[in-house]
Amino acid sequence: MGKKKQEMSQVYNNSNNEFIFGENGGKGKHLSSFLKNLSLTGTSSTSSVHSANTDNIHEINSNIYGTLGYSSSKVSSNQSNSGPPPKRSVSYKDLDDDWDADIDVSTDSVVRRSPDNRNLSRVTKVESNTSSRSSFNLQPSPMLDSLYPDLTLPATNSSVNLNSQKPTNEESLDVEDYRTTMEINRLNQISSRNNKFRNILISDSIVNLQDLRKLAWNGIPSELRALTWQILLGYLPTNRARQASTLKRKRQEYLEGLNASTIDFEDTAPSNSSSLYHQIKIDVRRTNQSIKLYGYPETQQSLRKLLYLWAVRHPASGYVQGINDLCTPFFQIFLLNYIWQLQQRVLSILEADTYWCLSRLLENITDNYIHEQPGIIRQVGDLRNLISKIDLELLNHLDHEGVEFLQFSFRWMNCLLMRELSISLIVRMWDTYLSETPLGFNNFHVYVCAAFLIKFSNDLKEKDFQEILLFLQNPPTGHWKEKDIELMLSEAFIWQSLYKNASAHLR
Amino acid sequence: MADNTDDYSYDYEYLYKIVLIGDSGVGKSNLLSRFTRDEFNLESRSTIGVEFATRTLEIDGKRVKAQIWDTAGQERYRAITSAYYRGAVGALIVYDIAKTETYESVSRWLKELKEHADANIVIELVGNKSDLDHLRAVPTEEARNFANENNLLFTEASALSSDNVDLSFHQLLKNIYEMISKHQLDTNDGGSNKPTTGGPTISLTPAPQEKRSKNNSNCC
Repeated sequence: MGKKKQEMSQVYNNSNNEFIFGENGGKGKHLSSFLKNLSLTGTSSTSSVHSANTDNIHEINSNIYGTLGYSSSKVSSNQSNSGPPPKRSVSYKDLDDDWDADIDVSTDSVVRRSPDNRNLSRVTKVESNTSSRSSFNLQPSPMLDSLYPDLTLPATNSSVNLNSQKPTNEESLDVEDYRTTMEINRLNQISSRNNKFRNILISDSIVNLQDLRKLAWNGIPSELRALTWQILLGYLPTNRARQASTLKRKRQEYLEGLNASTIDFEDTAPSNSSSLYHQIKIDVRRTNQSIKLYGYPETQQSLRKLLYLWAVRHPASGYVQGINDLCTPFFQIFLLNYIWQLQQRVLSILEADTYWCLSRLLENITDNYIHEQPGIIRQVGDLRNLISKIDLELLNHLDHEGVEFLQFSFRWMNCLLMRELSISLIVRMWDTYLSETPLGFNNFHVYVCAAFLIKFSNDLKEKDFQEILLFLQNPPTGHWKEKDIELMLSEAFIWQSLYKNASAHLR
Repeated sequence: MADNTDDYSYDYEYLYKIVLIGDSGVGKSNLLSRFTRDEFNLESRSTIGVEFATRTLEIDGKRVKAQIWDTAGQERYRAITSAYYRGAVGALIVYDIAKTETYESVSRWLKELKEHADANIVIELVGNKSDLDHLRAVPTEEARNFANENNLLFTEASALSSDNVDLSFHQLLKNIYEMISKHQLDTNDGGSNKPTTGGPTISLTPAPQEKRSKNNSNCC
C-alpha cells in the first residue's frame, strides 16, 4: 500500500539547489538572498573538517557560538576553491518578504552547496564588500547564536517603495511582479507582519509569549520560523539574555548523550544491530523518500542519531514508527537556518535542536506511543464523539457501513496527519499547533482531525465500507494549499471554542 | 478511487477477511499492492496501524472477494493490529528470505495468531524478496519443512518482480474456500445452523452490528 502522495517532491528535487526549499515548503529561499539576509560570515568555518566522531566535542561546542555571529567584515575564503573563481558582482534585489534593502555584494567565491558532496565541510562563503553596504548600518547582533537571522536591520523603513525597488540590474528578478499594486500591497502586508514578529522577538528583553502566540497562530514568516518555533516549544527561553547559554548547554547535552551510546551510526548495514536501532534504520531509510533532502546519507545519519537517543531516553515508549515522520518538520525548518554554512559542526547543532524540539513535542503526546497506545485510543474516541456533535449524519453513515474510527483515524493521530498532508502544509499547521495553549498536538489536533474528516463528509456519505476506507487511506489532498489548511484550522478553532469547555461531550 | 482494478466489487459470492502479518520491512505492503493493484512502490513508507485493500477473483467458478488487512510490523502496534485478527479466515505470515531474523520471528507470529485469531484460520508462510536470491539467508527447504510441520501453506514470492504473488494469494484463498465449503457441509450434516463445537463462525462481512456494540471496549 504505497502512499501515492507526491510529497511535494517537485519542491526539493531541484538539483542545482538554487532554491533550498520550495515556494510552499516554507517559502522558497534563494540561496543568495539567504546569504544576504543573514549577512553571514563564516569566520571559523574554514578552519577544519570535523570528523564525524564527536571526540572533540569541546572544540566543536566552543565554536558554536561567536563564530556564527555577524561580523560584517572579516571573511575568509581561502579554502576549497581550486583555481581562481570567477569574480562576479551581484546586485541583490530584495524580493523577499522581509527585507527591503538593495545590496551589492561582490562575491569573490561563492561555493554553492553541492548535495552530492558527501563531505559536509562544504562551506558557502561570501566575500562581502563592506563599503558597498554601508547603508545597512550593520551592528553586531545582540544575539550571537546562530538561530537568529540578522535582526539588527532597522525594522521601521520597511514599507515597499516602488520606485526605489525598480530593478536596475539584469540579474534582478521578475520585474513583472512589481508592476501591480496588488503585489505591493501584499508585500507591504507581509512586511508589516514580519515587523510585528521582529518587534516581539527582539524589542524586549523578555519575549512576550502571549503576543507571539497570537501572531504565530496565523502563520509564521519562514525566515523567523525556526526561532519562533523554538520559543513556542519552550526550547528557547523567553528571556533573551538566557537564550544563547541555554542553546549551548542543550546542544552540549545532546552530544554527550550521543557519546554515551555505543552504536555506530554510520553503520547502515541491514543487520548486526539492536532491534531498536534496526527498526530506526529501516524507517529512516523510508522517511519522505520522495523528498531529496531525506535521501542524503548525512540526513539519514542525523535522523538515526537523534531518534535513537530519544528512544533510549524514553524507554516507556521507545521508538515507535511514525515518530520518524514527526522529527522531519523540525529538521528541515532548522536546516533552513543553517544551510548557508552546512558542515559537520552545524549538522550536530541541527540534530541537537531537532532532538530537543522533538522531545518537547512528544512530551505532549507520550501516551500515544506507550504500550497499547492509550493516548491514541482516547483521541480516536474523542474524534468520534466530536463528529457525533458536529455531523451526526456522517457518523450514522459510518456506523451503518461498519466503519470504525480506529480503522481510519489511528494513523491521523499516530502521525499527526503527516501521512495525509504534504510537509509544507504540515509546517503551516504546526505554526498554529505551537501557538495553542496547551500545545495543539494533543487535544486541538482532534478538532483538526474532525475538520479534516468533515471536509470529505459529502463524498463519504456516498460510499460504502470499502470505498470509505480506501478513500480515507489516501485522501485527495494533493492539490491542497495553505488556504485549505488555514480554513481547516479555523474550523477546528471554532469547534474547540464551542466544545472544549463542555467537558462532558468528549467523554 | 484507488480501487479501479476491482470493477466487480459488488459482484461476489464470498467475502474472506485476510490478515497480512510479519516483521517490519519484509515487504507486506508491497505484496498487497502488487496483488490488488499490480503496483510496487520503491518509496513506500512504514505502515502505521492497519491498512486495507481488496481484490475479487474467481475460485472454482465462484467470485471470491479477498478483504485484506495489512498490518504494521512493529511490536508496539501489536495491540492495535491483533484486534484485526478477529474474524479473519486467512493469514499470510511474511518474512524476508534475505533476513534470518524475520524468519526466526515466524513462530512468534504463529503464536500471535493462536492467541487472537480463530482456531481454524488458514495460514500461509510467504518468503518475500525471492528476487534477492544472491543474498538469500533462509534456505527454501528449511522454510518449507517448517511450514509442513506446522500445517502452513508455503510459497516464496517477490513483490518486486511479482513472481508468485498472485499464486500465493490464490493458494490461500483456494484453501480457505475448500475449508469453508467443507465446514459448511459438516454443519449442514449436523442439521443445525449453529456451528459445531470448536468451529467458530466464519465472518463473511464486516458485521457492523457486532462491532458497534463493542465500540467502547477493546480499543475499537
